Amino acid sequence: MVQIKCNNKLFSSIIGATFLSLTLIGCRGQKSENPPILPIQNMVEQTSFGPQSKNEFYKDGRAYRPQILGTVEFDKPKTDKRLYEGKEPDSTEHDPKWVKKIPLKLSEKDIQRGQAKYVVFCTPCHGYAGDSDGLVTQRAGGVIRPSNIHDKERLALPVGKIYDAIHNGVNNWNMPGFASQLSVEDKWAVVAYVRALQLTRRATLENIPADIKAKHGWSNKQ
Amino acid sequence: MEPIFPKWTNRIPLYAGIGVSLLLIAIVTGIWYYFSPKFLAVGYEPVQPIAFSHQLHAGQMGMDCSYCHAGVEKGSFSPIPAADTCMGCHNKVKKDSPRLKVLRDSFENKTPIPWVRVHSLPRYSHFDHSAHLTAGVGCVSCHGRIDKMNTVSMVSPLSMGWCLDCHRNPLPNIRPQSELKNMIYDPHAEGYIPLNDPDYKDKLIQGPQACGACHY
Repeated sequence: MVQIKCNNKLFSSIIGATFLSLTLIGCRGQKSENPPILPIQNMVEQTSFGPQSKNEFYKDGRAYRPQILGTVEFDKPKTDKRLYEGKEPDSTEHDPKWVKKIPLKLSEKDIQRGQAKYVVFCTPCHGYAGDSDGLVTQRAGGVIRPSNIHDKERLALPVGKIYDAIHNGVNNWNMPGFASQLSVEDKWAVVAYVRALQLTRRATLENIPADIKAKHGWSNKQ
Repeated sequence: MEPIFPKWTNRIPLYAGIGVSLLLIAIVTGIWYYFSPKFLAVGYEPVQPIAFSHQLHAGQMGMDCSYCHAGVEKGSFSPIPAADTCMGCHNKVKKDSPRLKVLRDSFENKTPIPWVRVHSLPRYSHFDHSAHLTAGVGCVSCHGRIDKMNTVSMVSPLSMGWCLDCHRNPLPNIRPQSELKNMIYDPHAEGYIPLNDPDYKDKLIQGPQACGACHY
């Protein structure tokens, strides 16, 4: 009997120790501030630098180096002011003459891409329809006041000015510029979509092509 | 004659048989459970230098992933946004908040914010974000419900077995190109069939399983 009792004690202590260690180790998926452990360490870290990685050699610690002064861009020079700045070639710094016509040929697909980009970059503040009722605007509670694209003044804006607003921002970064996020084609596609949004409330029957009117039986007389 | 071994020694083989097999089971189970990246990697939630909340920005305010992580559709990696992107709003919104001091310092001194990387692969394997997005794998499939996380944590083990699970049978994780960044969309619940989608119709919906696809 003595022997059995002793075994019981041993048994229960083993079970207890097991459970204790299990609770201390934790379960799968438990939150932890410790980085993942990789049991096999062969070539996990390498001497080359990945994107946005650290390099202690430089003072700022960036492996990516900022462009030095006088860096010349690869590819064709961007001299076409109409396309890249939305300005007529004869406009000056203080007297910009904005282009009135989009200097790219855009298809329906481009406008759909413009919509996709508008939804990503513009809707947080300007809202899906452009009424400046985006969720960020609502939450900020008056700290930011994005313009309503259906305003009289916005309707009168030439496309070049809208392009410039997207590219460089407006009013000393009141609206940030999206030069680094959007390519030139994307920016013009967004401009086209903004124009399309404005048309949704201003279009008349005259704006509809004749063949579509004929197809639906619409006429100008209604 | 007095026996050399006492009688209880007759049971040693029995005890040893049970004990050794239990021990073996415990060791195998322990290694299976605890040595897996599902235990070692999932749940990694580092403290970030700025208490940025994806739950607020992506969840409550519905900002698209690529507003900040712009270029993920075109590049191999999903970029951490520049301080410029943050300051686009935060030069007005909460502009004096002490919680954003690190951001303002970074913006003024042109030094990087020391974000702690959450998802990182060993350097011998390569992952391309744009290829996966083009193939129709959305953000949520690997990163989980980021729009519910105050602090980002890892929900996927990022192990090779986990990668191959999907590369061998990708169909359940394919979603329409318009829903890639939608956190709530569930292709299964919507009855979405990738093979009928004109975007994927002429493509081979099959992840590569060759070693050289990732280890190059």
